[in-house]
Amino acid sequence: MPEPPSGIEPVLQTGGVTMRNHPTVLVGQTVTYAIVLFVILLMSSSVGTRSLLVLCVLIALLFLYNLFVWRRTTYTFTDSELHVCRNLMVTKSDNYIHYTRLASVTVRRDIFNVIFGTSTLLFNVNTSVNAVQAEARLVLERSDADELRDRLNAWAFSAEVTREEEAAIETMIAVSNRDIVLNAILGQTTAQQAYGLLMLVYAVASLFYDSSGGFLLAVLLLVFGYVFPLAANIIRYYNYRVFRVGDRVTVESGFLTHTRRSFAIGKVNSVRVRTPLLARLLGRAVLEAEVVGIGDEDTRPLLCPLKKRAEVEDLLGRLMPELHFRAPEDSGGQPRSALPVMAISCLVAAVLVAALFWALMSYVAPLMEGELSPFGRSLVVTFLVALPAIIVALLIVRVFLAQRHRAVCMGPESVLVVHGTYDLSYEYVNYDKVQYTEVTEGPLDRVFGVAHCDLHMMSAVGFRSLSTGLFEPEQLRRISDEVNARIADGRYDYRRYLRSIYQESGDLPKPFYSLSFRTAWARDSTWGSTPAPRASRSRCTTATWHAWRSPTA
Amino acid sequence: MTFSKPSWRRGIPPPVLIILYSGADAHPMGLSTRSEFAVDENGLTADGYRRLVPASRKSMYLSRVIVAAVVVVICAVAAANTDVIGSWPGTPYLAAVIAVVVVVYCAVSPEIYYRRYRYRIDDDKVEIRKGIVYITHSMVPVERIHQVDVSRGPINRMFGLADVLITTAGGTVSIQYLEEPVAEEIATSLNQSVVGMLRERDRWGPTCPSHPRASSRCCRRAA
Repeated sequence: MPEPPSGIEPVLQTGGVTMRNHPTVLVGQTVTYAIVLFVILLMSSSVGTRSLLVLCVLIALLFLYNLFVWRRTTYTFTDSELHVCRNLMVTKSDNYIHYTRLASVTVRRDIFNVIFGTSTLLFNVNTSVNAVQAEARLVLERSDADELRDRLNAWAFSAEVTREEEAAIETMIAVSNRDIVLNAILGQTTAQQAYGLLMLVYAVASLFYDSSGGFLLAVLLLVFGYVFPLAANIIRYYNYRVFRVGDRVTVESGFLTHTRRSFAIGKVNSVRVRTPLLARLLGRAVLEAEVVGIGDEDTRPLLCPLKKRAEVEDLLGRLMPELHFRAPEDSGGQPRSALPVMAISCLVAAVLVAALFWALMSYVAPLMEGELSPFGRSLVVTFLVALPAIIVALLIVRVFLAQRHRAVCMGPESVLVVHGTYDLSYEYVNYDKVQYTEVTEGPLDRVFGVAHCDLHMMSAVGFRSLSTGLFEPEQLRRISDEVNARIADGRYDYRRYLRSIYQESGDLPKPFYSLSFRTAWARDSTWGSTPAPRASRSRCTTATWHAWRSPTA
Repeated sequence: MTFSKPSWRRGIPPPVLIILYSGADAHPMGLSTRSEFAVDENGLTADGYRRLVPASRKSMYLSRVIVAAVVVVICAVAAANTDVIGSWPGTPYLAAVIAVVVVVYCAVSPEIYYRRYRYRIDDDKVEIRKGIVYITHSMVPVERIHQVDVSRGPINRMFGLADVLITTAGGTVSIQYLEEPVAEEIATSLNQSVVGMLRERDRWGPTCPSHPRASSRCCRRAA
């Protein structure tokens, strides 16, 4: 492990405030456990007084355990980091989250929060490890949560805007709830839409021609695979609002669970205008951002639901001018030499598909004799004849769509990669977030002098590799050259990156120990006092060293 | 319709032969083996890349022999027990085809891989070119490197070889089949490069990473 440079100075604690979760989390947890256990009990065959007694004892024990954990878990905010201490006697964990590592601070209000008048703060660190679970979560009384979030925004995102001021800020694009419903339907990928349509057709066909329970299966597949995700999408993005203050973008939405997530522009890996096939035919698009460390369900923040393409482009220009640029018309498209490569690949794929289905047919045909009902037989025949024909047709159309749309265009701060075929994405990738590149030439590519490039980046769900279309290898290597050039000439530098997030300002935000929470339970003996510097932090620890030198990690 | 013909393809055999060919006088890519892979007294090719040591071929052949043996055994078992696996009459033929393809691949691939593998380490980036059917050119900026490990598998250890694993936030890249001292040297060198790059920036950046905007605040406190 390399030693940190001599320039790094020790991290000193200068003050802070220590708090716990709001006690109502215990009620929420206990009720949840009780419901789960009760459902399990109902599903079992023996429901009696004795089993109910065991259930009550179990719930009581779980409550006592949660009370113990609640009592022994503290959150300390200093002027440089959040310290989550979980001392369970047998195990003790100390999690130090430096504010520089925070990718976003999200405020959520679920059904329990609404009942008890609290808010849940989710602290997401700029790493892919906590893509699904936030690094830390803290439940506070609503006003306290708002105050703390305002203070954190001031420190971590240089935005001295209070919750009240924020509420008065107008959204950067007017989004009606009708747009949200349209977004849920048309913003889905073409594959999802095709699945929904297929299941609908299957359900209707089963209703009239099949009496062996196929209808119920089709409805279940339709509901769980299509209707539920669609409804969840509407609920999640209901009452949508997006705005930018300084270098911080905030997205607010939610019907039952109100969520407000903020992230710094410097944490955005890429931003993309996504146009699924049906939406594209209607001239509409969706705007999304790839932000590492958003965590908790929404790994890809929606910046603009389905709107007209021109409006989405305009919003992108206003919301993230750092990454957006106008690509010259008819530039960066695939060379003509890419067409035969794709055509030959398509031919090979078509032959393979035909061979696979021919083999399936020869295997299935003897089994069908006298085994299947007339409806089942017609379904199998349709599947084995129509499906390969559809797949081959889609493969052929895919070649022409790819040749027409795919492009790579290098801008001053980002590279525009147009990828996909039926569902096109115009993705602006920040050069400084590209970790490494791979230019790959297949056997056909080498014959026709083309290659494709994989841009490897972090993503909210781990690693991500974005593949370009087929271009001349030298053109693709220029992306890597630009990434290196930005490092070499100082256009990208971590210190500068930090300064861009923590803009220098004359007036420093108020320190955390001046927080004026009303709830006494949130305080403990260290309230307002100055904790002693930790001996282990007299010099940079390994964790700090990694966090410092690797802002994207 | 006209297509631009890459310069390296002038006067070389048809594509199918290029893909399959791996003789002594010509490179499978169509590049002359002697000119492209000739190394000077420093062990560098003309464009500054290093090639693998001959011992790497032995390691690759040994590992491929093991893979081929396992696949052949599985295919033989599948072909001999069609009544257990399934009633499709083509199973023995399919198993035979799979076995032949894997054996041919295992016999040919180490030589092609060895001839094509090149790596170069500059002050600012690491480049690796490799591949058998698909040729990949990986370019990793040194600034993006988080961790450098040296890995020694059991077969590589038999031949005194090791891999250098370079971890970035976007994934891991490896320089394979290096002699152990060379692997150690490269790992040390990359670590030093990363630290050196950061030290250089310390000269003009804020001095306290934990108080990035407090170049003024720290000073105030110190005062």
